Amino acid sequence: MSMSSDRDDLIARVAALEPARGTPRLSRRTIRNLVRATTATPRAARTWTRPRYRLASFGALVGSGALAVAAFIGLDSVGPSLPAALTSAVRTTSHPPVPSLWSAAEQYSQHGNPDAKALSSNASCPIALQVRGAATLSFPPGPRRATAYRIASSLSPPRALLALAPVFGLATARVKWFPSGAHARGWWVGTLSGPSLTTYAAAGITWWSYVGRRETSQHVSSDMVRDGLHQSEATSVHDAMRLLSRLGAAGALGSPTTQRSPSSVQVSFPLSVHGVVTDERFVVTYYPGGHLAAAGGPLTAIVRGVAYPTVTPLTAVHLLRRPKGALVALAAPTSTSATGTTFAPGKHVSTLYCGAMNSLVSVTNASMTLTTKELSDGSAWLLPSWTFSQALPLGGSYGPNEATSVAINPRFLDYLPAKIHLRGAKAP
Amino acid sequence: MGTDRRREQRFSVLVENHADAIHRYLRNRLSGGDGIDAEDILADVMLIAWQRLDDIPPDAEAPWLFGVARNRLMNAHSKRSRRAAISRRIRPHGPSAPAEDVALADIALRSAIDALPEPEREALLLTAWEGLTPNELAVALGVSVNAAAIRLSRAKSMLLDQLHVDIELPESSDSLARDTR
Repeated sequence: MSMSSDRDDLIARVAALEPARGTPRLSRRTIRNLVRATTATPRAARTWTRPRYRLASFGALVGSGALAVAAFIGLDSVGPSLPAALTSAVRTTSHPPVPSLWSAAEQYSQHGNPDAKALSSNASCPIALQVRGAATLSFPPGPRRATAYRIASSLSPPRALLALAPVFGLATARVKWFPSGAHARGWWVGTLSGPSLTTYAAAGITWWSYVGRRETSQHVSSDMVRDGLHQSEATSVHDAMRLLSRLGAAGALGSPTTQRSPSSVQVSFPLSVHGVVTDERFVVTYYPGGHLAAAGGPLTAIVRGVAYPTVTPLTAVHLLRRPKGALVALAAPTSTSATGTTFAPGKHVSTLYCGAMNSLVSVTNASMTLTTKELSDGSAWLLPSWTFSQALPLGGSYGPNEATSVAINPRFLDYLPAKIHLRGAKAP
Repeated sequence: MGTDRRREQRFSVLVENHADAIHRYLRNRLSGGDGIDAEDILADVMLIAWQRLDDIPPDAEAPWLFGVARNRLMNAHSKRSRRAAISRRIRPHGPSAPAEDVALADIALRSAIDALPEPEREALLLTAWEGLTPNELAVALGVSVNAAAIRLSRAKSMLLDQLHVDIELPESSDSLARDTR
């Protein structure tokens, strides 16, 4: 077969894989609603001009004093060598990092109408939750204060790649890159058919991902499963722990969970900070015979931040019901001016048209965790949160397996003010 | 007829002509099911189209919309599901798909497509699934026609190479074990 016909045939074969084949067309009514809802929206948001930005920045500087200036002084930009670089112990600095509240939040609060670019980069539709069961439960009140942590990585993706590749037995003579986001690159070594190691950055965190040889997956047949070559879950946990230890992550692992499929055993370790489980995780998957199928996780450098006053789990349950925009910024709890500022949501802001993402959850228990939130300044934080276990999604097109509400008192949280219009559901 | 009325009329026609294709594109890209709603992004795309209606080239409305949808999709992915992205990346390529999919789909080809770098994969899928011509592909990807053609050609070459590698270089599980343990 010629190369040309090979290629023509290839397009036809790819076309045959289209997932949405046979999807019914949008109804006339849906089209009409889409036109009506969209044309009811103002044509363009007010643009955020440089003079207005400078004015807000000046106000921010005056209002927040040295707090914002001190925000990132404590962060170390020098990457230590393996293995400490990969998942370092929590560092405490004399100047704990303070989120840059003012530069972002003032922008929204003073002018109300964020520029289109900021809106588009921060706005996201929330999941509206209907909560039941909480009123009959008696949660323990929990701590009065809880610490937030700045999470970043001390190794850039290319440096991380060079550091990690030898651990996986991969040569780094030929490092390749691929676009990862608007202005970022991901890096990889290996071959397309595997094994390969990829590193990339998201929200200031460097992530690594190893994928084993693809031929291995093709050899993982029912024969191997039938022949009992599947290794036990205990062995998988042991092997995964050993692998992650070689990467310097042993001290940051929470209790593992395993998931077994006909073709693999997947071990998942949550990243743990001072014994508090986070929503970041390391995952290692093995094929039968103990072949490493895949592994991945974050490279974290965690810096202790400041302790915030918290809300009780019961209050957090109530906060779950409120759809919010994206989290813009945190206030510094030591600054009275910061805590005294209130931001009026929904004023002069664009409307987000969201689907009927209305999930009914049944709350049965609450535990303090740390969840990752990316602020509008691009920094990522592990924020104390109440995670409601066994919160079952009972309705809606999809829903969370667990409901999580930031445990920090809402006085210290500023969400992107946005009028959220939920289609097909009444916004609380 | 007033300007506003004309704008509304053009937008209405644009939605009628292209919303379905964009919706299908979003459904295709979200088929992995990572909690992002195709309808939400569709509404988002159309909002941007409404606000920038005057910027949309009349002879390239569909590819312009594909370009916006692609950007919104990438934004939604990066914002909402870093963790899910990790899970997808390290998901084993074993027979975990539903039996029907396994029976119908070309698993090796699907794996090969997954392994393509995003720009090449997008060029290939916009051509194969959305039926874009090289000129339309260029608008959707925001590159020159020449660059789009090169990207598509490279995607095909990489795909063929990988499929051939899979066929020609089977290795024993023993050697794999040495490499991966």
